[in-house]
Amino acid sequence: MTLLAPSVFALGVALALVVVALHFLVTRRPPARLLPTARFVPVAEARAVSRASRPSDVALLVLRVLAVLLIAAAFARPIPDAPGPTVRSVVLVDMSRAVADTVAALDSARARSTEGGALLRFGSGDAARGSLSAALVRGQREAARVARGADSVKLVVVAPFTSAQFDAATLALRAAWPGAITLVRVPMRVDTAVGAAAQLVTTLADDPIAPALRALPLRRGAQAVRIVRGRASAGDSIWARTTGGALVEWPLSEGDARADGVVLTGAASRATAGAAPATLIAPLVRLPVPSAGLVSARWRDGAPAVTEDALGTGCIRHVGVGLPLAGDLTLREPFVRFLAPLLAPCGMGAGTLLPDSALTAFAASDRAAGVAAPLLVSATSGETRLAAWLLLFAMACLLGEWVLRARRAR
Amino acid sequence: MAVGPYGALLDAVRGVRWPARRPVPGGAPGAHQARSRGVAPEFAEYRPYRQGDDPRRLDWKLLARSDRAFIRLAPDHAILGTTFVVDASASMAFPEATLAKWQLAKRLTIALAAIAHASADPVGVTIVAGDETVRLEPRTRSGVLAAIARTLDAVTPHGASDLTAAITSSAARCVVISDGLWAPDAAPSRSVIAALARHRARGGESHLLHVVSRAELEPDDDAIMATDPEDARLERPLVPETREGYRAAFDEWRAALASRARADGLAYAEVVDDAPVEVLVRRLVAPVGAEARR
Repeated sequence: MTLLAPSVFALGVALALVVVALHFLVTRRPPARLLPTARFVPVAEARAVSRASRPSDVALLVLRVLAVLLIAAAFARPIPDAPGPTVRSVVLVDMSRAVADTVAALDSARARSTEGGALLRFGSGDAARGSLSAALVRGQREAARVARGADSVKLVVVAPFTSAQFDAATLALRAAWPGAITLVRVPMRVDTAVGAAAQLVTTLADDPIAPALRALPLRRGAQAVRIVRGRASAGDSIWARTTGGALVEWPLSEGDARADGVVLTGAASRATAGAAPATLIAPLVRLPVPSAGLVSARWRDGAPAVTEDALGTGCIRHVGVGLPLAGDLTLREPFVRFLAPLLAPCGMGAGTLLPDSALTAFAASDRAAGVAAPLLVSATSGETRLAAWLLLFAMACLLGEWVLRARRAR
Repeated sequence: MAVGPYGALLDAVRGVRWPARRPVPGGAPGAHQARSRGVAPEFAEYRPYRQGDDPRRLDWKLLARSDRAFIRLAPDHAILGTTFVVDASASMAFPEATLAKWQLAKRLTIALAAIAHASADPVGVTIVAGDETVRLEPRTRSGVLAAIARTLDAVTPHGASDLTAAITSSAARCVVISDGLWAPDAAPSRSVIAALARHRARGGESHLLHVVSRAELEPDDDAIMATDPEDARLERPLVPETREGYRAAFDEWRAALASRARADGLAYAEVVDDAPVEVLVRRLVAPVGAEARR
């Protein structure tokens, strides 16, 4: 049995010592003896405290000390000990479309799982990628559960580790895990199909995007992308849902043009520190976009400019950047650089693979691999059961003490 | 005369006299000065008339018959019946190991009875033990001492005794042998001292022998819960803190008892259980000058 709050038990031991000391201080009633002249003895207290060389009433002493120690142990958050040194693993495996071979990834994960541990899948098959933040949250919760009965718990993540899998909370969640994390990199899925660039559905004869599209090189690994210059139709939605393509809803600009800037941001921004985000500064019209969804581009004031939502097996990308119908903005290199990520497969692509140095830093291999189980265990049913049993035994001791005292008094 | 283990005691008090404290009523001839004077109801002997004799004591009839002058001698000493009222309550059975108080009471009774009996005085005993009363009427027969000894030895002190009834039916000399630890709530008129005072007022002689144990005067230093043998509800802790108060209260009570007894004209004596009975007896029977001449 391990005590999570040993200071409480230490307090109980101190209290037990006080009980023992009190049993050496006894209030004795003098022995009764006949004295015919007792009537002349002044009325006084019939008891006096004295020190005994041996503790009085050993049976009562034992019951009282036992009760005190059991109560102290119950409140000291006891957890049952593991039969032997036990290290359990919580393995998180990415099963999203970002993984090239999910079967191999699962096998790799199973190879690293341990008896009594857990194997968790994150990023379902229809997701473009698995969120490391969500995986870490699930993993830490599971670690607290498997920690009961174990000495330590290890965290293993099996994933491609692309920049797209990181978000603003990932590093904070990583810091919440006190030990090292074993990272097992699996190959990222790359779509080798070479196909045409995005389809453009527009009502304009001279849509300003068309020249930029033609300027883009053929993309390898690009899923089908349909750009709808207006509101997407039901057919467009069905197409995205069934084919897994990226539906880009890019309305024509209405309203007054305002010179404004768009900075291409997204989940990849932290992982790709050093790479300059694409910036487009031009008289652009700010169009409304849904606030929910993955934000991949923002206006200069931080408002979302491009958001992406999952749509069946594909996704719909809302572009709130209204382009001028005239001018050569769309022919310039900054616009082409801005446009290219908008035509990436759902999830803004799998993102780029995280460099090994970044992975090493994320794994924090200088920390201990396993985290001691007591650090992870929280109030669980097992701990509560053990404490309840200890309290039950303590109550039994107190009941026995009361019965014994009642018998002595009689 | 078989008196059990008291043979040595009787030998020790042989020849001791116990005169009455004041003239006794006339009666059978005895060793005590009688109250009556003049012509005695009984004729004892003649003595020739001598110069200085009271002429009124001449026996004129004898003078007429024999022409010789003789005077009649009348007896002026009488007997004094003595009854011993012995307290055999539970408080007399102390200390528990030796029963020294009870032993002293018995030995005093037997010794004084022997002294009185040697003067031809009738002696009797009334033993009050709880609700039981054993009475031996005063007698002069030779076996009365043995009977008193047997009666005393057959009694075990117990209960709480009321001695007042035994005092009212006693003989001319009443000797109460008790530790004085009577019911504390008894009315003063019903107390033993009042009864003895009434007996004395009726012409009798009252003695109170107050038996005290050395263990009561000087209890051990051990802390005990003192329990009254006649009242189990009375328990007091005799511990170092209360010892001085106990001694003071006990001494004060003894002094008050002695003062009250003497003020009522009783012959009071405190006897301690570790004192030799022979010495005590001689002190008790010593005549008091003023009383003897009254």
